[in-house]
Amino acid sequence: MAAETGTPTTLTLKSNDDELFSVAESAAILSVTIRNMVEDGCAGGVIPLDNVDGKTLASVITYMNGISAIPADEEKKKSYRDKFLSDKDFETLADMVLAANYLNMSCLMDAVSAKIAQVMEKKSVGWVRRKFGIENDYTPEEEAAVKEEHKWTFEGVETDDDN
Amino acid sequence: CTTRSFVTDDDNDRISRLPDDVLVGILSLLLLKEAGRTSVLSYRWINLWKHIPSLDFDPGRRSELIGSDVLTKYLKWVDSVISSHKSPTLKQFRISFPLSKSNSNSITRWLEFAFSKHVQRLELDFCIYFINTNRFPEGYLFAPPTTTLSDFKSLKALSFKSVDLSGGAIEFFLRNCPLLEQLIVHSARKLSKLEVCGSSLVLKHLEIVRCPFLKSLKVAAPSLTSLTIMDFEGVSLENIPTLVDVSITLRMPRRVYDDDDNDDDIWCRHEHLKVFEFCGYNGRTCDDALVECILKNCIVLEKIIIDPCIEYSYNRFSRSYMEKCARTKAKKHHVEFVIR
Repeated sequence: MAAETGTPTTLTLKSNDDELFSVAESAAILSVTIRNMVEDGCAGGVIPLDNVDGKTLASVITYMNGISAIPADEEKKKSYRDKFLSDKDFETLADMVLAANYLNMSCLMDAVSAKIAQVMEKKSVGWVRRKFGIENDYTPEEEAAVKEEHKWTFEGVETDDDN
Repeated sequence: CTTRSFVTDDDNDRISRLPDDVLVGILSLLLLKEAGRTSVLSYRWINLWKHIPSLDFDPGRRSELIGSDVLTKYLKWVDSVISSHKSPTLKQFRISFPLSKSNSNSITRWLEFAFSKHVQRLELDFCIYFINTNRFPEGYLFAPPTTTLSDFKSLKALSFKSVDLSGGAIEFFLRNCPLLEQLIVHSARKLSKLEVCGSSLVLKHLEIVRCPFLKSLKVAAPSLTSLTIMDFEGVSLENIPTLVDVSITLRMPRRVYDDDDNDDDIWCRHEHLKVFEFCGYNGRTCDDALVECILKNCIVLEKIIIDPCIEYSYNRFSRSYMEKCARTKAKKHHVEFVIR
């Protein structure tokens, strides 16, 4: 391990579109999936990550390097995460949450999930549908029945918008 | 406005194509009502919220909690969620509502549900500050209808507010919840005697607040790091080697030592204690003795906070004298001395 030998160990990660990335082991093991491979001794050559494309992996590695450079200070880590995610569109966030899920990186997973949840907070059903492009496939009768069944979800709740 | 900027045509409804566990993770960050409301979005969403592992039945604004209609709605809400909930385990189950004795059947049913899902964090807040508080259905604990003792094994945090429960019931949890790290009891009006003792306890945080009839409290918990006791008469502290943070409020000018001859018996050496907050200081001899005792036995103490209680008759002269003495003592021990 890097800390023991004094020379930083570098891992090579391969995305599903065959891009290769070098990353310090100390940063990469933020991913429990990668850490398990390292601990099992399977991280010698190239580590193939079949569920992550190159664009997303590049972004995840930027995050890994950024967050692992911050010493144990939860406040600073949080503000780094907020800044890191601030300019990402939904497509990128969706790719990122899938990658974080696959790589088993709970801190990134939680941050991206919170970011998506924030968008849905205090919003009406109609607004969320429009915002995320969700197609309403209920018939009007079905929708009325689901609403009736979940009546409690509309009681005592205010939304920022109409409909 | 901003509605269109978030998704492009290419990733229309991308969110619905995310895997179930990812979406459930997102929904668990919303309020329960908001999460439930997503069922109306489309077929894809109808059952997702039923898998969220945290159920916080927060009714929202407190001013709207009065009236039988509100009560009926609350009971229905909890029952309805419980009957459709699908997650096999629960991280959190929280009830917060002014419930009364007539609701004990519901409460028992809810507890049964929470324990059957191996709840990790259980919070009951009956929000009542009147005399007529609600009794905890203790019969349920000692002769559980359908639960078994193993259902308590996952509990890590317990919080009871305005719930009448006896020391026996609390001790039941301490005995049967090997993972319990946090115990909070507020306004338990029937609580008279409590022992939080056991060498195998992993309890880290203990808070006993506003239990007016608590006459005797014994604490001996080897992993305890934070202790808050408010409004009590007699306490005994033993075997708490890792204690870091303590806040104690005295209610009556009674001694905090159970041995008249030797104060040091209770205040065994606390080798990790850094901050000691003493609320309700009233310049009494026993208060001074306690401060002295703390200074002597807490060898790494960095800060002692004295919060004089203005509720009690208080003499300005004795205060300034007390402050002077205490400051001198604190200085001698290199401890920061703060008076609120």
